[in-house]
Formats: sequence, C-alpha cells, structure tokens
Amino acid sequence: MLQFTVKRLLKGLFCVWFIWSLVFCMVRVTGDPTDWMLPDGATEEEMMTLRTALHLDEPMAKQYTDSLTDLLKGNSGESYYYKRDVAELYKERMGATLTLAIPAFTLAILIGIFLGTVAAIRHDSLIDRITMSGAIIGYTLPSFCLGIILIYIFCLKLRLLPSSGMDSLRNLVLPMVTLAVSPLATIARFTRSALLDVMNREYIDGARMKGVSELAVTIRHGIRNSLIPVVTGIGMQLGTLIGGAVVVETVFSWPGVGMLLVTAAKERDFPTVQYGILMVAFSVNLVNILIDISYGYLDPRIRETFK
Amino acid sequence: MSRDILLEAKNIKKYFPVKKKWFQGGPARTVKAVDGISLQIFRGEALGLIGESGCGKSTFSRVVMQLIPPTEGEVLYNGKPVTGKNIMEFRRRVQMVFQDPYSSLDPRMNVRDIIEEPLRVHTSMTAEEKLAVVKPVLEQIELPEETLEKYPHEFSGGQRQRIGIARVLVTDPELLVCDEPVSALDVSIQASILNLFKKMQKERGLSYLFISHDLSVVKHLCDRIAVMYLGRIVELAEKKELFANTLHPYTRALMSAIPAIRDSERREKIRLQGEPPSPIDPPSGCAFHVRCPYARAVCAEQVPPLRDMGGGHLVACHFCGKEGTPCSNSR
Amino acid sequence: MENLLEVKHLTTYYYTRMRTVPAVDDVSFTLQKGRVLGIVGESGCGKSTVARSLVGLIDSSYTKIVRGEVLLRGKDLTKATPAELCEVRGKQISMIFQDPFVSLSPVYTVGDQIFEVMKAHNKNLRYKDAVPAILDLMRKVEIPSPEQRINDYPYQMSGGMQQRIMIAIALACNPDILIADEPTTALDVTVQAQVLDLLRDLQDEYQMSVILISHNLGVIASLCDHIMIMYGGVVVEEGSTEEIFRNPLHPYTKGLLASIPSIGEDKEELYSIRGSVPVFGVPVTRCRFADRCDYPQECCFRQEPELTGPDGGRKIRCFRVKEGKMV
Repeated sequence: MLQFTVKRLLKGLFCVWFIWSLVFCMVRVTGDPTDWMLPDGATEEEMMTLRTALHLDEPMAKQYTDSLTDLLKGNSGESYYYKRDVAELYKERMGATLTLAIPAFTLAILIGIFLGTVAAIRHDSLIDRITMSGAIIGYTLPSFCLGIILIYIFCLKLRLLPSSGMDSLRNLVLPMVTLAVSPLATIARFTRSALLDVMNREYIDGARMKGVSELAVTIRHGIRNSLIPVVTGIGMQLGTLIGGAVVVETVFSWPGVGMLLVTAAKERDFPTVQYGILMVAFSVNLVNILIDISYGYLDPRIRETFK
Repeated sequence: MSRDILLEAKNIKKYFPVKKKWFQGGPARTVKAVDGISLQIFRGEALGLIGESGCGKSTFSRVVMQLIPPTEGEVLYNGKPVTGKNIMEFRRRVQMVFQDPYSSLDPRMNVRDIIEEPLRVHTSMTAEEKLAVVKPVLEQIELPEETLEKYPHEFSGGQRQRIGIARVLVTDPELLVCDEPVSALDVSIQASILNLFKKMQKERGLSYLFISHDLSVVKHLCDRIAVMYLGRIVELAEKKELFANTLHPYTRALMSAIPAIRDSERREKIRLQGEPPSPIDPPSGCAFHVRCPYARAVCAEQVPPLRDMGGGHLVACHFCGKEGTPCSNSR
Repeated sequence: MENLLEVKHLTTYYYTRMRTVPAVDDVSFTLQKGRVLGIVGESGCGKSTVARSLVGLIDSSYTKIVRGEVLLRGKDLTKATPAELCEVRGKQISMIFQDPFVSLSPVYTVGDQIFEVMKAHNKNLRYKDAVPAILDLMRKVEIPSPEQRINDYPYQMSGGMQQRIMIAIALACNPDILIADEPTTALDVTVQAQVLDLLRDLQDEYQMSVILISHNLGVIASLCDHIMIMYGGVVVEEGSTEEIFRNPLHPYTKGLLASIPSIGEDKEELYSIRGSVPVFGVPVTRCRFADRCDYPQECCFRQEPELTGPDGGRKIRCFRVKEGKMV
C-alpha cells in the first residue's frame, strides 16, 4: 500500500510539473505583454527597460529555471496586471469560487447518483427515458448558453433572481445550477449504466433470497458494487467543473478565481496564469490520487494489487 | 509389436513467474503449471488426460500445440522437434478442438469460410477444389449442405461444435488435441459428439489427446488414460486396466467421487479433505500428500517417480504395489 | 404426511419480442417435510425457472407467472406482497445457486454476508452478538479455522469454500425448504463429492425438505427420493428415484439415461437423441418431444398429452405409455 501511494504521488507530482512547464511555454508563445502594458506612444527604449525589469529579455531556458526556482522557494511572483503578489490575489478570490464550486459539485453528485439510480431501477420506463434525454441535453449544452438562457428566464422575464454579483444567497442559485448541470448529467448516465450492469449479477439474487428488502438490496449491493465506475466518473467530472467554473464566473460576474484566470490570460499576465494553472493541476491531481486510493477501500480485490 | 509414436512430450515443464515487488523478500515465486510431463501418443490411439482445475492440463495442451514454448523439455512430432521449417506441416496435421462452441467460431464468417480457412492457409486450392473437400466433411459431421451459407449464431451449441470439428478435419489431420470439447454441451448433445469422435477415429485412423475433467467421457472414448495432479502425471494405464486395477489414491478418489446412477458404477467411498491446491505454493514432495488418506513421512519429503507396475501401468506413488499397503490391488 | 409446499399448475411465461415462451407450463408437485425432490432436465427445460417462480425471483420486465398457486403452509406465494416474500425468503425457503463466486457479493466479508440474512429476520441483532452463531454455522459446513476465515472476502476462498458459505447463509435461519439450483456444477469432481455429502448430512440432521435442481442424473440419484423430469417447460415423467432409474418409461427419460457414458459399463456407441431442443411459442399443440422421439404416433403431433398418474406416485406424459408400459 505504501509503495503504491508513493508511486502514485510521484506520478502526480510529475504531472503537475509537466503541466506547469507546458503552460509556461504556451503563454510565452502568445506574445509579448510589454506591448500593451505601457500606454500608446511609449518609446522602444521604455519597452526595453520594462522587458529587462520583467526578465523577459533573458533566454527562455533561464526564464524557465528562474521561474521554477522561484516557485519552489514559495515565491509566486508579481502579477503584471494587478501589480500585486499573485498568491495573494488568488487567496482573496478563492473563497468566492469555493462557495460556488463545492455546493455545485455536491449537488451534481447527489442528484446525479439519485437520478441515475432511479433510471436504472425503472429502466426502459418513461422516467428512464426522460432522465436520460435530459442528461444528454445537460452535457451537450455549453454552460455559457445555459447560463444566458437562465438569466433570460429568471432575471429578465420572471425577475426572480439577480443575474450578477455576490451579494446574497439568491445570487448563488443560478450560477450554482448552471455549473452543476453538466457534471450532474454525466454522473447520472454513469450511475445508470454501472447500476444496470450490477443489478444483473447473480449476487443480487443471492441477496434477495436472504429476505433483504428490494431497497436495501439496491443500496447495499447494487450501488455499493457500482461505486468504482461511478467514483471514477466523478473524478473525471472535476476537470469539467473547473472549466465550467471559469465560464460561469464570467457569465455571472462572480468574483472568483475563474474570472481572475480569464482576465489574466487576456492580459498576458504570465505569473497569474501560471500560478492559476498550477493550482488547478495540483487540485485535480490530488483528487484523482485520493480516488485511486479509495478504490482499495471500495473493492477488496483491488487491495491485492496494492501489496 | 512396436507401435509408431506420433507425438512425444519429453519432460515438459512450464513455469510462469509471479511478479515480485521490490520490498518482498525471499526467492522469486513461480507458478509451476506443468512440472515434468513425459507422454507418448501412438498413431491411431486416443489418449485421455484427466484432471481437476489447476492441474495444468490446458497449459500442457497449449505447449503440445506449440502455442506457448515450454520452460524445459521438448515436443517431438514423428520423432523430430517442431521448428520453423516443419511448423506448417505440424499445424496441418495436428489440430485443436476447443471447449466453448460459442466463442471458438468467428461470428463474422459464414460456415463455408470457417471450414475452408485451413485450406486457404495450407493449400492453394481453387474454390471448386475446396468445396470438393468440404462436402464430404460436412457429411461426416452430419450437417446439411445449407449449413455452409449460414452464420454461427444460427446454430445451437452442439451444431457449432460440429462445425468446429469440420474445420479441423479438412486438412486431413493425424492428431486432434481436444480441450474439454463436450463440457459445455448438454448431455444428449454430448453423446452425439462423442459418437462422432469415435466414428472419426475408426474411419480416419485419427489419434487424439483428449483432455477432460470427466472420467466417464474419457473412458468411453480413450484407449489409454493419464491422470494429472498439480502439473504432474500420477497414473497412466490402458483403460480397462485403470478401471479394474486403480492404484493411485488420487485416481481412486476421483472414481469414487463420481455420483453413481447404476450399481455397476458404485465404488469404495473415498473422500478427500480440502481442495485442489494452487500451483503457486505447491506442497513439498508428492503434491498429493496433503490430501492423501495414506500419506506417510516420506511422501512430504520426496517426489515419487513414475514407476511401471507392469504392462505399461505407470504410477507415481511411494507405496503402490508394495505388499500390505492400502492402495495395492483393490477396487 | 402434511404437505409443506403445494405447487398447483404453475405456469410462467417469458415475453420476448418475437414470441411468448411457456418456460414453465402447468407444473404441479407437493413437498413434504424431510423429503428431497429432484428436478432434472437439460438447459432450457424450465427447471431453474420453476425454482425462481416459487420464490418470486423473476425479472418482472419480461417474466410473469400467468397461472397457478404456490402454497406454503396454505399461503399462496404468487399472491404475496414484496414484504411477505421477504419474510419467506431466507427464513422459510432458502436457495443456493450454481456458481458461488458470482453469487456472493465481492465487497463484503463472508461474516458480513452470513450476518445479513440473520439481520434480515431479526432487526435488532448486532454483528458482535451474532459472531458466535456465525462461527458455529461455519463449523457446521466444515470450514476449517472459521475464526480466521470469518473476515475473508469471497475472492480469498476456493470454490468449494464459497459454496459452503452459501450453504451456511441458506441454513442460518433454519429454513423448512432448501432449493439447490445446480449446487455442484461449477465445482471440481472431488469437491462436488464433498459438498454433496455435506448436503446429505445436513438434510438428514435438520430434516430439511430439499428441491434439488440439476442436469446431472448422478447428482440427483445421490440425494433425491423423488424425481421430476422436465422437457420444454413441462414435466414428462415423475416418480421415485429408484423406479425411474430402474424402469424409465418416457422416451426422453430413456434416451437421456442411454446417452450418459458410464464408468461401470462399456458401450460401443452412446444413444443420442436426434435433433435439438426446439423453441416453443404459446399455445403448444403437440407433444413437445415428438420431433425427437423414437416412438412417435400421429396423435403425438396433433395434441399435447396430459400428465397422468396417481398423486405422489408415478406419472407420465405420453400417449404411448399406458399403465406403466409402452403400447
């Protein structure tokens, strides 16, 4: 088990480093930020000075190693755009994003599993077809589309909910729903197919023959045994969630980390973008490592491979 | 009378290594699927190979068929080892019939293609020539000509097994290696396939290596029977001799375990303790000693060699045949 | 002797897109305390469907019991509510299945799974308190070192052990009736013999009534006192084990017995029943075995014969057998 965890952590670390390096190259390919950091009419000399100050005139390899050593020292750098410490910037907005993302993800998981279960138990019935068609719409519809439609209905026409800002709990509703829909749909489909497969197994009949109620059989044996594919699906949805957060925050002007990242990318704010991607890569990897380890608890046969 | 040896397996061993983790101490572990088997199959004879799960009979069959290389030992066909030069001839003359009729036929090929495929590989016959070979084979397996244009899914398990047999007959083989060919079939269908095997043995002079866990099936079809336990042969004899004079305790337990319908089938009751062991951590000495009702100290220490008890009846047991021992000469 | 179980005209249909299949058609039998009934037949004959219909273990999306009664001590199980069925399952009627590896849940320990059936019928039972009883059961089914094995998962046990756990689960609440659906088919021959011995001993000790389903006539002969032979969804012959093996009457029974290779005899050629099992749709208007029979007459193709014979005695479904003889 220990060997497995260590190996897995190393793989995760490698992944995070690789992504960070990739982003490093990608942002620098998009162009020189000094072009618009200075007001129009700035002289070539002024631009040179700025470039030197930002170390942008140095060879790529040196920029890279400097950046990396800075990072490892815990120095996140200064934002070109906001002129402030990058880590500080993210810390301020993290709260907002988590307030949005955590309820959205929880909602997606709980309702997704519930709907998927219902669809599986009543498979080929009307409710199954409705839920699954709904799920298809849910994950094919782009979240900005959905967001704008919801704003149109609930803010403009019905005047029930606010369309932007973060003032009260009512502001949370629309962005949370918009964010939750896509992962919810996928989790529901995953749950349905995993559960359908499990409910056809002989041990389900074995459990029924003990006199256990159908509900208990479905939960204790059906869902329990289908958790591995479902948990895998949930892990995969985390990536979608983060991408969705960026879009949703923009659509609803939610002052979170996503908006920060988008603005930084537009403004060629290298340090902010890098740090943001780093955090995303780190958290997704962490969640996936936890999921991999959880397999050992979910299915005892997998524990054998850990030894 | 010297009989012609068609196929000979010489001290075949097949070991599979078990992957080791870097922190595990001790020597590398291996699965000793086949642990030293020497067998001869004579021309025109049906040799049965009996054993329970994990005994290595399937692995052995694949080594014989040259599908996997042995860790040690060699397989001689007509006295010569099988190499790159004669492998095609070998594949033509030595064919395999499989257990599962539902997965051993390609569902996307029609029956004609399935049966003709070996001809396409080994010969350069024209379509008419191929059909001329296929038609009589179809008659032999007792399926009508319309069968040719149909697809496997249109047939029952027994019929598919017949198609599989037709497929191996077209190249005019000398030896058929059959791995549990009737185990997946219903009893009434089993009978017709077994009759077919017997008919082919008579009409074509075919030899068989017939692998099964079912003693009664093997008894019906085979001339000599070998009993396997955990990678080794524990008893080998002519059919009548084996049943009249069962020597090895494992063979006797096997016979005793078959539930009897008729009085002629009733045997002295011998019940083994425990389960067939795993080939990863085999017991020391005689692999059977852990379950043997007659085991003594030496059985745990030394592997008993196969000894000839007379007339070609081989037994691997320290005590068989000796005076006053429980397994000597009784039914 | 009082009838523990009375099955009357049980009929179960499968509804497929192409046709409606009478998987079980008008099957009736009784079971008394301590008796062992065998249901024999090849694949597709309906024997497993009979067993599952008794306890309602059928997939209602395409299977339905269309007719008949299953009276357990006078109460009709076909009309029972789901809650009532749960009361019966595990406590009055238990079942063990063919492949123990897939019939046990892979993610719970064997101790947990034995506990589950106890808890289903004793809501206030706690695992801690049940452990001694669980260990006792494991000893009873001859599992060595039960204290160590109680926390094992099914995959850590061999096939024979897993089947013993299934038997332990089935016996935990002292059921009156045990249904064993091909209990030894997936096991090695030597292990099969052990498990059959165990079943015999337990049946003797608990005086349990057993319904044993198998395609293996030897297994049936070793445990059952009364046999029903099924073909195409109907019972074609019924009687005591001894009678049926000594003097089989129905052409199918005769054919079946003649086609089994035996280690006691040497036959040049095995009898083989020609043709294969046809698929039936409703209604059936001929003898189901007519196409494969060696003794057909015209009437066999025009009408289905009735199952005739005294209750609890020798019964036969064939136009050509009258008063115990072929005419």
